[in-house]
Amino acid sequence: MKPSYSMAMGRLRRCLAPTVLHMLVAILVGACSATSPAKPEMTLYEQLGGEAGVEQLTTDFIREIAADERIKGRYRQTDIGRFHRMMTEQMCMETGGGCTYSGDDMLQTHAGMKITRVEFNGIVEALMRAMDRNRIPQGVQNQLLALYAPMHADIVNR
Amino acid sequence: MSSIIRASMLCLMLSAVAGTLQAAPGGRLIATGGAMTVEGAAGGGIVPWALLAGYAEDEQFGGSAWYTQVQPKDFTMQAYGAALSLHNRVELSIGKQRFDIDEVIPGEQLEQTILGAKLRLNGDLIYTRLPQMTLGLQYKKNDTFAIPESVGARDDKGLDIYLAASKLWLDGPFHRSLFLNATVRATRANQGGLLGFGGDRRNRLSLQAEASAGLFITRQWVLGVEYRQKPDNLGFAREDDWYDVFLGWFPSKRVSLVAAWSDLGSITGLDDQTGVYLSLQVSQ
Repeated sequence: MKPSYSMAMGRLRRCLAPTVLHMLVAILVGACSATSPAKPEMTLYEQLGGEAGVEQLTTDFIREIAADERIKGRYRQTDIGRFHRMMTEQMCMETGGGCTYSGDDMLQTHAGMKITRVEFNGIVEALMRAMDRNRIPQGVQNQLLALYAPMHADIVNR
Repeated sequence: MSSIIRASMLCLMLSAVAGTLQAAPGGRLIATGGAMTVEGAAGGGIVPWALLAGYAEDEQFGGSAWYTQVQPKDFTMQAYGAALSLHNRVELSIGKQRFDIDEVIPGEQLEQTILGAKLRLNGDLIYTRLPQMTLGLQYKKNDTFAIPESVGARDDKGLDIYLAASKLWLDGPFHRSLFLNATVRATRANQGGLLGFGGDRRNRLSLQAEASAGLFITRQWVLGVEYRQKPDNLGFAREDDWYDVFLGWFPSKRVSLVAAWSDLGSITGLDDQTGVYLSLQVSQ
C-alpha cells in the first residue's frame, strides 16, 4: 500500500512543481497582455447600464457615503443635488459616456480638506457597496475602481 | 528566554483578541492584509509579503492572530502566532512552529519560535505606481536543537533578512484584480529553521528568491501560487524548494481562511512531502 501511495505522490509532486511555474507564467503573461489594447467592445459606461445605470449607481453611492460614520460628516455642508449631478457627470466622462464634466478637478475640490487615507478607503468601500447593490459584475466593478483609484494622489492629505 | 517569549506571545495574542472584540477592523480595503505565513509575518502561506498584518491605516493599530496546520505525507506541522501592526508602517510578530517527526524518530518533534519585525519602506499596494516595499527581519530560535545538531546544523538561532515588493492591479487579466509579490531573503536556516541554522555543507548566509501571484476571482476569493527557494546546507539529507497553490477566502475583514496544496519536497530524507495546508486568521 505504502510504496504505491508514495509513487503516486511522487508523480503528483513532479507534476505539481511545473504546474505551479506554468500558472505563474500564465498569470504574468495575462498581466502583460491585459495592458495592450483589446478589440473594440462596449464602453464601461454602457456596461454600467448607460445613463439610467450610472444615475442609479451614483444615487446609491451617495446613500452609502451618507450611511458611513467615518465619512458622512465631510458632506454635512454639501449641496447633495449638485454633488449628485457632478458625480454622475464625472462618472459618465470617465467611463466613456461622452459627457463633459463641468465641476472642479479633484485636486481643487479637496484642497485644504486633509482627507485621510481611512476616509478615502471609506469612500472606495461605499462605492463597492453601491456597485454590489446594483449587481454590477466584478469585472465591471474592477474597471471602475481602477479609474477612480489614481484619484488618491489628488484627494488624500491635500 | 523561552518563558519571556511565551509570556510576550500570550500578551500579544490576548491584546490582538481584545482589540478584535473592541472596534471595527482598520481602514484598509478587504484582503490587503493578506494572510499569515507559517513564520508569523503577513504574506501568503510560505512567502512573507510587503503587506502588514491586519487592516491598520496610517493612524491606526491592527493585527492578526492565526493558526495553521500543514499535513505533508509523513509529517504534521502546527503553527500559530500573532502580529501587531502600527500605523501601516511597522509589523511585530511572534510565531511558534511544531513539526512532528514521528516517522523519522518516534515520539520526537522539532520546534521553533520566530520573532518578526517588518518596516514598510515606501509605496502602497494599490494607490502608488511603484510597488509597496517592505524590509523584514525574522529572529528564529530552534527550541529542539539536539536533533538538528546531531545531523550537522551549526546554530540553534538565526536571523533572516528579507526585502519584499507587493503590488495589486485592480483591473488585471480577465478584469480581475491581480496580486504579485517578490521577496529576496538572506538566510542560513535549514527547513526554515526547524533543522537549525548553517550546516556541514554550507554555513554562510545565502540569498533566496521567493514569489507569489494571486488572482482575485471576487473581492472575497483569491486563487494563487507561491514559490520559495531554499538553501541546502545539510549533508545528511537534501532540502528542496517549496511550492503551493492556494485558495484564500475573505468573507469579511475580520476572518480569513486559506486552503492550499503544498509541496515541501524532501524533508529529513523523506521525499515528496506534499499535502494539505489550512490556515485561519482573525484580523483587526
